[in-house]
Amino acid sequence: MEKIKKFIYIIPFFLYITFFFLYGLYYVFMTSFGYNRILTKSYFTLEYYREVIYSKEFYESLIYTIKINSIASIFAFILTIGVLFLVFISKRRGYFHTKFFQRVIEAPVFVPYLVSAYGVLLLLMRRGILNKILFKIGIISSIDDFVILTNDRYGVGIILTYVWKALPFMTMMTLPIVFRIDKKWDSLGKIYNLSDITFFKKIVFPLVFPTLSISFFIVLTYLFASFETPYILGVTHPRVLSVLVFDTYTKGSLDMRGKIMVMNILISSISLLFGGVMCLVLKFFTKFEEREW
Amino acid sequence: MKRIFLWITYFFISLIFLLPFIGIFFNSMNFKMWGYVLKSKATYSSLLTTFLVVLMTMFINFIIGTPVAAFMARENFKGKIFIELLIILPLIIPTMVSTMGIQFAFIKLGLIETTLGVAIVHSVTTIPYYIQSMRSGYVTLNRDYINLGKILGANFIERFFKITLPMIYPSFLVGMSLVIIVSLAQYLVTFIIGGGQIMTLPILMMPYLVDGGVTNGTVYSVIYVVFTYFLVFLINQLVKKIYKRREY
Repeated sequence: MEKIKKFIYIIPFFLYITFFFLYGLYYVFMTSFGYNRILTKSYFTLEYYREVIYSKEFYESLIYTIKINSIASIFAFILTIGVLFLVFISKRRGYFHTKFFQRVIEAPVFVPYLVSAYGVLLLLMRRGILNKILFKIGIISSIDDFVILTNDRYGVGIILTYVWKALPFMTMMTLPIVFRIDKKWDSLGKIYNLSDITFFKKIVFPLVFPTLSISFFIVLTYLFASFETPYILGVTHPRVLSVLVFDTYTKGSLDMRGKIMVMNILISSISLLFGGVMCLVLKFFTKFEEREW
Repeated sequence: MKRIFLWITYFFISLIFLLPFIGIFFNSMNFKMWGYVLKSKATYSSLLTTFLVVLMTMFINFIIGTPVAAFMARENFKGKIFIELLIILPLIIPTMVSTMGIQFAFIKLGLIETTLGVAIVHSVTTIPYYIQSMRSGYVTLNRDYINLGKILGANFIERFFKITLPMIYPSFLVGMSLVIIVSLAQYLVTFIIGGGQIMTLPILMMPYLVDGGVTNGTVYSVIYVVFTYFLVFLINQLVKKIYKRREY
């Protein structure tokens, strides 16, 4: 009895998540196999899967999504290391206080994707601010000379927004570790007379790397289903998966539902795959980190 | 020399980070647009709707999430990993997917195009954040304090509000702030369940943003960001005021 009483704590959560999350997944799953159809009778079929997997549109969207996400995440990853190095050097040399800089860098974390995409749009579009400034200074002779960076085929605007949002997140996750390392390992660096760069490469980087790679996977998983940015900054032809699903959902008829659900299933599976990798990395590195330092 | 070089690098990085804000800020410096937005009724009703949705989301998170956080931090039991998985699953699998799935059930239940329906979907999205941060608070909490409360005859609710919450209120604040931020940022799930009838701020803004013209979008963006910060600030001040004033 006492044991059952304890589980009262988790029962509401369990029921809640089952009704409003797992049931949704179940419904999506069944619909993708041809059950729960609204228009015609439901029976098992793999027709939807065949349709989606053989459709060129889906394939292109998938490639496009993965391309954009990985480019953005990798860029953010590399730039984060750069920022960490900067902060590390100025902290070590005692040049100046980094608190303000930290605040500035972390500011975009609290801005919704919707607004940040719009900000990037205003900044970089043809009649945007950067263009006007360049024109006034005289670097470009006419407004049309400016390269197209938003609503472009290659998704430059999307990638920039993603980096602008992901870099602060990664920095926020790792910066405390850098500060901690500096305090603890400083004397070692002095004994061995390590230069800043070697110290960073040999000591700071390996210790930061676990957290950094975990945040890398978090970003990758999150961006995979991110919707607002590509919706505002993207073009109609190579579309990101979430936008493709949304467009089919709002514009398509009811018999498209099966196809949508199949796409949803594929999106979830890929997200789960990323999540699984994340979990493995986490497990691998927590063992690694538990060694005393 | 090196110092100046670093300063310049810092300056440029900061500038790059602030540029999109500056863009929005300068473009919103148009009093005609502000007048239009502030006079329109849709702005206020959407602010109210957003506030209601956030409030309900916070409430659901609080009711459902807190016991789980406490339980997961204290107990070890068989199948813990399963519950753990359930907690982080909404983070990994996009809620867009599950929301499309439960839409039909919501139609049957009459939850579609209601504020409650939107709040339920938002709470599914935000609950992992809330549970994780509350959990980190509960881990630091010594159980003896709770037992002391039990001995002194405080009931379940009193124990929570008078002992637990004052001690772990930083985690509570982080969790609630995350809930506010994430819930306010939701566009897609709000659209699917709200069907364009529940006008939260993102839904109201989206048409202005997509065409890219410098219209009311900038003004709404400023309002949006300020509103987010304001809500986070409000909950911070509220909780701090309640618990900091007393001496524990």
